[in-house]
Amino acid sequence: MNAARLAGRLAFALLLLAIILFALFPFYHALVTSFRSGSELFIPGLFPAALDPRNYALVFTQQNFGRTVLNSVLVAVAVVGFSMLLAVAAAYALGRVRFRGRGALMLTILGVSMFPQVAVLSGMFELIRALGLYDTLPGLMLANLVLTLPFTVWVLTTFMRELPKELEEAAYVDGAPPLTVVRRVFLPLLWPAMVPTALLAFIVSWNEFLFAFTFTLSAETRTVPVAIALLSGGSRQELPWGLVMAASVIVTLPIVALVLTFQRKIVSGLTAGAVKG
Amino acid sequence: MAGVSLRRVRKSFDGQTVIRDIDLDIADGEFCVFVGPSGCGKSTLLRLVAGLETVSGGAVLIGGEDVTAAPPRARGIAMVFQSYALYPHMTVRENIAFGLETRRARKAEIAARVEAVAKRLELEGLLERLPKQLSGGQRQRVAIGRAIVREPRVFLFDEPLSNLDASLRVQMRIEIARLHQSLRTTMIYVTHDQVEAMTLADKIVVLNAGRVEQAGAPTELYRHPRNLFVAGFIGSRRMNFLPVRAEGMRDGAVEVLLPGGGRLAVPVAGEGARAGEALTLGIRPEHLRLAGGAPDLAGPVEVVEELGDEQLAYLRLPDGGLVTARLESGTAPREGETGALELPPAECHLFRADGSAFGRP
Amino acid sequence: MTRHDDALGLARIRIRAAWMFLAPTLIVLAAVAGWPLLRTIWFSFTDAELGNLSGYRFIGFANYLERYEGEWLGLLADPAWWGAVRRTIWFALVSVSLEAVLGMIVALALNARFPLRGLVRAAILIPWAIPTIVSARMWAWMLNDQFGVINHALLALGLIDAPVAWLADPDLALWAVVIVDVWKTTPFVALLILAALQMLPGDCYEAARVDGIHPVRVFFRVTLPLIRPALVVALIFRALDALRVFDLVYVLTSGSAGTMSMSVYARQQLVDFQDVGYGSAASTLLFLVIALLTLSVVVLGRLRLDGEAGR
Repeated sequence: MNAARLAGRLAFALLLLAIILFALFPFYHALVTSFRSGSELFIPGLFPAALDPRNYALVFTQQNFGRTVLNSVLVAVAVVGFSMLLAVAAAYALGRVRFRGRGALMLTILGVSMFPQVAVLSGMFELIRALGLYDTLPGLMLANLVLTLPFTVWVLTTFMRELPKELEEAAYVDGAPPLTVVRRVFLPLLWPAMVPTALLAFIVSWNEFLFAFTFTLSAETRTVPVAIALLSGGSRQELPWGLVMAASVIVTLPIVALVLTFQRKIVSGLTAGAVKG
Repeated sequence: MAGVSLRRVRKSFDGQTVIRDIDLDIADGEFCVFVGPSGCGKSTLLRLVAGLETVSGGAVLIGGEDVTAAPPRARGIAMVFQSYALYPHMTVRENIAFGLETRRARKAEIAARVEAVAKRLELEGLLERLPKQLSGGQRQRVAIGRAIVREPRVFLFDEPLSNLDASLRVQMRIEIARLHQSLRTTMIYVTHDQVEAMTLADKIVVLNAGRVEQAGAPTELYRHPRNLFVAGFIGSRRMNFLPVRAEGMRDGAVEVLLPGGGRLAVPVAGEGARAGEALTLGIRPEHLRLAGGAPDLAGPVEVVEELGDEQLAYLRLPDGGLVTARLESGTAPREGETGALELPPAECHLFRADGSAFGRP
Repeated sequence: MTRHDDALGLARIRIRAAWMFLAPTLIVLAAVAGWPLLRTIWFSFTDAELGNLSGYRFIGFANYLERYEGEWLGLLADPAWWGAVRRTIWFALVSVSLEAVLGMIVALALNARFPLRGLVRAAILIPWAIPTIVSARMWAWMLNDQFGVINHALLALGLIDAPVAWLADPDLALWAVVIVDVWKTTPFVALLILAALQMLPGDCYEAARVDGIHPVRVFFRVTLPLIRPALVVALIFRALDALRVFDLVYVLTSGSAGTMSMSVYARQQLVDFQDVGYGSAASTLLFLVIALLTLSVVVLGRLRLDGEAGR
């Protein structure tokens, strides 16, 4: 190996290192901070002096964080479940059946996924109030459908399109009505696509802030992002950074674990949603 | 069981007509093969019978009943697809049972019928496997099993053997023929392979550009092709076509001038043939013989293909055309030598300039 | 579906089923997206207030523009609004450009073969998966003027002499937002580019190598043109996303004037000032901007929307 190639390899290794550092350092830093309390916080240092779990205990005792996490999970699970149910049916129609107006419908659904959230904010506020759902979890579930439903329909439609035509025809020849075709033939085949789609929808709902911030008021209905945004300490001036970081780590770890587990599938879901569209 | 009739069936996709006014009757219990080059509309025609496509015009009758507007489930048909289209997430048993379940058959009955079909197709040991754990031939048998378990009035096959390798294809061909013998159900079979068509069919329908060129028994099509297209398509070796000129008519024969100057009286009903008219003479390679006396055709042998039991000799004619002759093994001239061939007049076909054939006795 | 269906052809059965399957989705979308959007647009022509959404008057275009006692009033005459518009567009342009360049570098690096590639690819997904609120908080702490690790590092390296007020200085705060956005979304862009890179045919690279063409030239003449469609789509999605930015700005800088985006402005009017009419007017304008952009992209880019069910 000559000198130029060695230098090239070294530069490449440094580039990779920089990428990894850039990607991971903020999370690492948050992790380190979460184990510090009091004045320790203000001493710079890249490594934790001692693993002090006080912040984690505080988050759950003082902030009722368990309830908050439960709220987020309930909202996300309901929203994902409902979205997937509707989206599979819609994806069959949009992905496999030729009918007048299909292109326009696809365009509309894509358009809805481009909606700025504030554009529906006042109308949604009115709707939620009218239904008596202000400051309730069902209200949030309803609102979050705007974000997850178009996206799940869109991604599942691209996957639905890829399934072989003969399978559907064989099922029709076998005498199956459309509902059976979707339920017994396509649904099982779509599982590999549904996992990443559901996961992405879950992340969207889990991370949602604006609706949750606007349509809930009490601590009992707060979701995780709102709770973290509203975390403040005794003084107005300085935030309890250790506490904030502990909360951040708690809500991030499950998502990170999910993402790492389904890494490959998520990438396929993302590309289906964005590139093939 | 039921026959199938098509009445002036037409189909167009986005303004393009792919099936043009087809009339066809397939008798109850008949094995009918649709054959033709790719894009001739044979698969579309099958899908119209299946109800997977809806006709643009005309009517489809199954067992005398008009099913033109009915979906596949209401037509009493079963279909075997080229790609088999087995449900990949279901076991062999579930694949075969699916069509019975959708018809709300009783559990015990389903189980009994699946077992019977599995036995008949020698699938008993494979019932709990998934399609991906099967070989190509086994998948094919499952696809057939899925079709026969429902005891349909009509079986439809869409190029079912084209994904198999050559030896397996012959074996499955025989199995399908046996199946038809024992079931005696109407079958419609699409293929582009004329050997499959000849060996399986009671009736062959030759399709070209959305039209029926000719329909009839295999020997009928072989002996009496109605036009140049059918003559060229049917037969394991392509018929030779020679440009000839009509010289005159004699009692029940047309005398023609062959390339190279020879004359031949072809025994056909020559109504309407005029002296001097340009015609095409057709002769199958297997009917050409080495000339004993004065040859009808002669020219240098360009290539000889040795097939073991027979030889194929390719002769270049004086007009530049190439003629193929099937000869007994060891009898062909060597490459480069001059070959001399005799045309048995009774085996010759004669076609008008528009491609239509003169009637043969 | 029953006997009744047996009188219909398969095509008609499927089309009827398609509409039945679509109906729930369309109804839900109409209820949670269509109706609220229409109400927002309607509110923008009224003087509605958050506390009393039923008692409002129709006031025409007054929320947008109105001449009152010789002075132009309304959104279109509001310098704060135009500031938000300018900042949002600047933010979208700068952050998306940076993400394109960095995403391309990361994607090219990850496209090479090296040990532990899967692990690195997983690692860069982490910033993307972290909730925006959380990443805003993490970075706010890192960018803290007194105790932040970034100021510490820069001071220690001697790059600055005094702590920098990243989030309070109006000139720097928007850059801070850009940095965090780039950190969070570069992985998304990189993975999309990577997916496109991995679909490229290998033979044209071998041909280029045989011909002895310099790698940089190969990149600009072969790679870039081939992945351009995927890149353009990814960047358009990102740009539309960036134009809507809310969470990040709101939590990182508390939506102070120096960083206020269009979404933050609209929400402030709507919720903090309870002025639903005026806030809805801002929301409507933002919606129009994004809708027009999306439409022109769809028309110009001829996105394939009506593909057939493939084999």
